[in-house]
Amino acid sequence: MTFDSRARAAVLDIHRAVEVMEMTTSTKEPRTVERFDRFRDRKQRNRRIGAILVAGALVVTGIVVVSMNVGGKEDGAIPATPGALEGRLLFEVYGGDRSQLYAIDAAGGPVQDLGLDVDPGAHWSPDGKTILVTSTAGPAETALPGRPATVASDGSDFRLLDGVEDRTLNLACLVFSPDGTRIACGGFNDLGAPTGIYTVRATDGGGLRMVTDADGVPADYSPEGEQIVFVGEDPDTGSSSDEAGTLFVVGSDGTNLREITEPNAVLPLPFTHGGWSPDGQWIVFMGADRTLRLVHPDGTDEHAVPLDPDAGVGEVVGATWSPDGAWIAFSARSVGEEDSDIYLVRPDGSELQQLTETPSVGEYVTDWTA
Amino acid sequence: MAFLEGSRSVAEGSEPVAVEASETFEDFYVREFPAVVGLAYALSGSRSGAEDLAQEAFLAAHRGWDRVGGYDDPGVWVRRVVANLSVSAIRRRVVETKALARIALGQTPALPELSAESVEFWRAVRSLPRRQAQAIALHYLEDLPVAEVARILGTAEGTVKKHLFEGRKKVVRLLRLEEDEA
Repeated sequence: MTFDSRARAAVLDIHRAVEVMEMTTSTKEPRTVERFDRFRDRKQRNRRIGAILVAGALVVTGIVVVSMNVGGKEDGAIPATPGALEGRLLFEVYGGDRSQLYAIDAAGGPVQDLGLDVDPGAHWSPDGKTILVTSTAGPAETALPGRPATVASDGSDFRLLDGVEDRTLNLACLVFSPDGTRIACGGFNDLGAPTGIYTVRATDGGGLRMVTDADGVPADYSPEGEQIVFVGEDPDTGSSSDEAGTLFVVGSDGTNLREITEPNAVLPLPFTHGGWSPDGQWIVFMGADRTLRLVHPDGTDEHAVPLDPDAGVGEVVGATWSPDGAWIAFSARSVGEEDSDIYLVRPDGSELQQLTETPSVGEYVTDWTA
Repeated sequence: MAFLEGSRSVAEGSEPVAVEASETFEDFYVREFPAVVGLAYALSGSRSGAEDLAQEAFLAAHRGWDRVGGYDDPGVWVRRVVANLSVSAIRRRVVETKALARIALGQTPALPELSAESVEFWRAVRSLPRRQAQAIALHYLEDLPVAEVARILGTAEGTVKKHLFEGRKKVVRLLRLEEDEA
């Protein structure tokens, strides 16, 4: 086959896709500016979200116990360790061109607007004193190439960690090592093509090391820092769609790369990559079927956290462990609602509680610090 | 009143369309949207993010319509914007992520998936240097002549010819295709 014949077929396929899009939407949105108006409204709505939150609509004075039911796992399979709701959660509110960063105590209370527009997946430093964000959270002139950056826990003191000389390499850095000395990043070139998983120094963003050339974005370090879990693309099957990825674990030195879920079993959103439990035994993630799931780091005993079906929790979006490993915080859409709220649950599915309840605002939890 | 040669929609192929320079944004949007979203789809490869990339470009046009609408051909301007948005790695990833967030909450992307062969072809195009990828997408998707591609990319015709030649050569090698006859 020649280039021209291959190109013609590929062009026709794009044209067909656009025609299908127009046909499938034409009954509701005839070919007018209504589709554009809806997009513009969504962006304007997201600007209003900031005002709503600042005005105090999302002030949570106490958590709501949704269900005390223990899920379907046998007692003792995953011990529900005692643990008070302590520490502080980071969450983001998405949509349009706004992704705003907020913090809230795990026990409830007022929401703190950190005053930042961020890329998805902001994380605390191990000591909780700083927050890892990307360069796009800072001034426009320093946004590119993609680099890690930090802000103080109140959102102030933006610091760009621009220690990598290669200006064609963009780094999407999402998580600190447990000792706070390194940051794990997904790399991609100017065309958006993935180049691998890297780590850089947390002090200045320099000291670039490639962990693996696999296509993926890091999710978390193991508690001792010797391994990294990331969401990537199965090398044999590829991604079945934009909404499917695969969980991998690799040594921080690049050794022992292994796939720990079935291909395309994971929803590959930055805030849903999940995390490693503090005791090192489990990795929490969101399944491609939008369920809250756990798996051992060796890929065994992969299962859904059994949530009480009567609690009204719908599709799960994003999850993180409490610092003591006694709780999982996750974002989910309540049944019948469009926007997600934050819930807390024991790893065995018991003591499900709702932390936020905001029908018009979607919160996506990203991390929990002591 | 001056009539100008406008840009082309997917449905209309390569036939020039006469449009009034003073057309409304609404008319401009309705005519150009299919071609622009197709360009975003080819250059970004994102079923979920392509429409948002196209809408971002039109939103920029809408905000500056007093100025953009007065250009000889606003279609050139909006194609340049979406071509740059689609190959801007960080911008594209942010748009994709936000689109995926909506998908996670139950909204389905409007664009259907492409065939495996088409996905492979456009992936090869996107692996090219940015200008080569843009030149190939613009030239082939809308059957635009080299001069029109040069206008959109803001470069010389000779440069576009070079991008097309080099880009085609690389895609032929990547996909192990036969050489086209000269």
